[in-house]
Amino acid sequence: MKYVIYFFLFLAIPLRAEVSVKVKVLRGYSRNPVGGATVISKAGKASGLTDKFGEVNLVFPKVGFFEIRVVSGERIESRNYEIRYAGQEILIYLSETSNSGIVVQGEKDKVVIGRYGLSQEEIKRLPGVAGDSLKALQTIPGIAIGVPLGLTPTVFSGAIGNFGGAPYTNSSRGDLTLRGGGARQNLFLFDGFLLPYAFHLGNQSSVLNNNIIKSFDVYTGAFPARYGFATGGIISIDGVDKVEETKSVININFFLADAYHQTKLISGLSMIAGVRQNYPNLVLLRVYPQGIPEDAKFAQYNDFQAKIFWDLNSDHKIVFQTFGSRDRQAYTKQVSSLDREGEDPRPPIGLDRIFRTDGLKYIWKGKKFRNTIAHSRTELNEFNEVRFTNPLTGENVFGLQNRTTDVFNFTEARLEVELIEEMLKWESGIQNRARDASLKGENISSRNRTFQTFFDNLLDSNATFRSLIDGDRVIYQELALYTEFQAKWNGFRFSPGVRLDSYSGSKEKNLSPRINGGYVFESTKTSILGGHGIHFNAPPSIEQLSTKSGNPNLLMEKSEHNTIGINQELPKGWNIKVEGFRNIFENIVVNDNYSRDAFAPNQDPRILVRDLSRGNYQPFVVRNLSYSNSGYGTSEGWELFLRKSKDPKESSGLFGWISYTNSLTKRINNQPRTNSSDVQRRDLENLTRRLVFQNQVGTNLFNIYEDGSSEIIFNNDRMELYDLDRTHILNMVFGYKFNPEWQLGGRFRYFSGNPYTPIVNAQRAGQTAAAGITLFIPEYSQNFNSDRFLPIHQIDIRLDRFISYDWGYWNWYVELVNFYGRRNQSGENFDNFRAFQRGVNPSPIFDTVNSPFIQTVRPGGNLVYLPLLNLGIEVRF
Amino acid sequence: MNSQSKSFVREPRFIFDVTLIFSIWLLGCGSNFESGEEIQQNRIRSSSLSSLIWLSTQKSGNCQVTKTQTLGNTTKTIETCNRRTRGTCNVDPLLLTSSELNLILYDANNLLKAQESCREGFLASGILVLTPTTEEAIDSLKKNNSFTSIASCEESGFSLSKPMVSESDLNFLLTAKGRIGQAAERIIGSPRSLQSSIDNANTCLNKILMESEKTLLRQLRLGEVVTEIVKP
Repeated sequence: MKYVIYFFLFLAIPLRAEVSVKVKVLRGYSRNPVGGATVISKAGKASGLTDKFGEVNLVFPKVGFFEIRVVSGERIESRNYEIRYAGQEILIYLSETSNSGIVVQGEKDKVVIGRYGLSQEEIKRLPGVAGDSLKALQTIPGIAIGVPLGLTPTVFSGAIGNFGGAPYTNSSRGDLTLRGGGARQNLFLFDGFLLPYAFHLGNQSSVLNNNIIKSFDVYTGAFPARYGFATGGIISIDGVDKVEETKSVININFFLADAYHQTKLISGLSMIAGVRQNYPNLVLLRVYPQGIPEDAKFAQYNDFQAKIFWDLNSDHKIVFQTFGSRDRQAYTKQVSSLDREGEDPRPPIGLDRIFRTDGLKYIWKGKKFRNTIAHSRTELNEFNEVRFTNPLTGENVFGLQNRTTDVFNFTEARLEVELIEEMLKWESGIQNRARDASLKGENISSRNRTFQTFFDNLLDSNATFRSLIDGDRVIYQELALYTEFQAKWNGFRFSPGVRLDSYSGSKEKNLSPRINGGYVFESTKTSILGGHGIHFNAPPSIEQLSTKSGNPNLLMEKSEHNTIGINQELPKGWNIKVEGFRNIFENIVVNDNYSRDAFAPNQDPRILVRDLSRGNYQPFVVRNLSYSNSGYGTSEGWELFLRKSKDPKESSGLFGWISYTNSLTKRINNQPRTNSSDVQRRDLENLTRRLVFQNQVGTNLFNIYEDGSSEIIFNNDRMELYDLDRTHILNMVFGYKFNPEWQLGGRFRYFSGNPYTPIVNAQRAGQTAAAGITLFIPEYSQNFNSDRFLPIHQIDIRLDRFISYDWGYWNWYVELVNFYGRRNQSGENFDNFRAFQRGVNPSPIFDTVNSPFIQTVRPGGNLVYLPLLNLGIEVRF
Repeated sequence: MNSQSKSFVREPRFIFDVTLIFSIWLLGCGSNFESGEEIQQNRIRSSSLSSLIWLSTQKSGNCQVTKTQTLGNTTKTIETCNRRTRGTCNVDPLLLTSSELNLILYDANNLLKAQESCREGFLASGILVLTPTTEEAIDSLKKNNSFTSIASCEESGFSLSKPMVSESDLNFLLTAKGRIGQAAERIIGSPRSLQSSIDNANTCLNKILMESEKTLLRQLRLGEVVTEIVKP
């Protein structure tokens, strides 16, 4: 009997005994061992780190099938293996396509200096942005929020300044400025395709669905040679590029609703689609209109994205992609009242802005190279309407519609080759960007005779207005060639590159070096880094390049980015990076009242019509070019980026980042500063003489007139603070996952206020007093940009509750945006019907988009400002 | 290089791409490579050169004017010469456009605001009665005056008994300051002027004119210099 028992015990021991197996992790093609990779089997309750031979011993509780996951860098490979016996050796090959389809360049190969990147997991539940993750861009070091484009046509609003009526401006409108660059001089790319604008009207929310964003990289230092067409910075957003499972996500909150779906259609063919609708005007203006500040603006917008991947085989892949957006009319509380009660619901200004990008990409990946050919077409259409109606009589004083079309065709061929494995890579490519932008005035209507005369005179005197009405068109092409090496040797990293940009407008070709490099101390994970790059970009606006109202001879703008820094990887997912930078901006396009073309073709058809009878038509006229490349600027400072990543193995933990930027940005327009009487006399004098030559002597102008007289226009301008300069920019973002069910997130931000030229007094306009109206004209300080608005600060909080099911999860969330109801000032408004009174007129304008608040009245009658509440739910199944 | 890495260079597509990229590189770099800075420098150089050539031709020479005067049935021709150069040896200096008149009035107004002492000079200058030249007057001036640009008055047989004022002086005399200054000089030189008027005129001249301008006006009044010479 006991032998029988011994026999069964003998059989039982191996059944219950742990099974030790050796797992060896190797690279897919080279068969080199992968050291430091985490190998996990959740079901087997086994884990370990591979040694330098790529080996690790795992102990499984029993034989059978187990899922084994390998985490190396950002690559995660997961497969099922059969554990059959002790001492078994399992080989796992980490293919280079393991994480995201065909990828040669991994995270570690990207430039470290002057680049900041965040992944979807980190940004998806960013507090205070109503579920719009791309707004995390605003929390990256070196980025300052600009002045949104507003209702003006995108292609027709270059250097139009920030604050209406101010005597001085050295900036243009745009969503973001990167390290002191121009707000219109950044390039937004989504999967390498052009994104005309990343945020809807008024910078309210992004044009991309949260779930389609895999990660983004912001290049603020020396860009890799591949990136051009920008002098400020590059925002490269990577979309999801592989569908591993069918997934649907629906997100609904007070301000927006979006849906996302990804699925495999057939073997090798997958698709992704996302749509979104925003309706802040519906919720706030309908449900609680009395709580909205008078100047709060909201757009109604939609956006969509779709993507189809076709893996022809393991080496060839085709991606078709389309994405677009639509912004309609800014609504205000007053407009909403009109909408409900007025007979004509249309507000005085209307806007319908649409863009759509269609792109096709073919990727061929060999064993050591990747070849990408891509083409995209981006079309932006805008319809602007201005209509003024006499509120008493209903008379149509003036109506004007304007239609703008801006088409970009972008083609890129790119080749990446790994010349020596893990040591030397080479990348080269060609890019061609062709632009065709046009605008035209339509349906001009007026039944007011006085206004018709005024309109006619305006057409005669203002070339910019004339081009807006008559129509204008700009066509140009940019061809770029680039090549870059990425070399690694021991701790050294060196990426020299060069880029050749040609621009058909001025027929120039600029060769620009790009160098990034450094040394990594592997023992301490410390990196010392540096970068230098020259960048060029064509002028962005129609009005700047117009042959009718602008300067078609404008050169490309130029910037030089210099960066040094140190990066320290710390245990438990911590990382700290400190960078110092100095950027120089040259050939900036600025408004110029002195630059003239002495023999410009006369393109005003009215002259022909009116003067034909007299037969003195002038084929050439002296034309004010309105713009020149006279601007110059510098930006210098330092940045800190402290980041904590959540351990992916842990279901709870802390993640987040702190970014701080201290910088000083200055600009000079190199425009003579003259008093009004000098200008008036010169204008009168210019009517008596004809310019024949204009010469540039340094930054001064030397004019020669037909009567033999000459004139030196002396440049007495001086450097001033950049309109968008912010000395301190601090962002603190954190998320803490208590357990799989609860997560708390917070964001605190503090920015120095923007500089502005203060109003110091106001003069009574004598000529209007007789008509019974007293107008006051503000008098600005002669010290431009000498004051700053109050600092901006706010706290946002978000609480998430996850409920998991077999089919997916529910994610309820509540957000308190602008927790303590801070009213952050973005500008000031002078009421021309009231006298100047410090602190009262001008009155502050508050940013109700980035810092929204609810205003209500206490029982005592005092106003109180409360945070904006947002409730939402995300369902994934 | 192991067998794995050798294989990729045999890929025909790879060779095609590399060749294509380098060819375009060579084409791009080799053809008319002109940077923005070079273009800007060339523009400045070209404009400066053109200006110099233009100025050297336009600012040279003197102006011979043949004036035809008709008195009854008699037509008389007078030949004069002045220091106007080729660029302005035409009818333009004889005309007064409404823009020029506006500028004169603007300058005169500013001078009066700054210097009350110039009021009498202003009233005597005739600025207030200036009117733009009419179309008919322009036609008449063109008909009765012919302008010929010559190397110099001296070489063309004009004898200079007195120095002639330069072209810039001629231009100055047509400005508001020049006109008021001339009138003030006349007040100073007139034996019938009151002492207070002479004092005002002196003050005016001292305040609004430079020394060289005052000298010019004085010499003109005294007949020490002339604006043009008449061929006997």
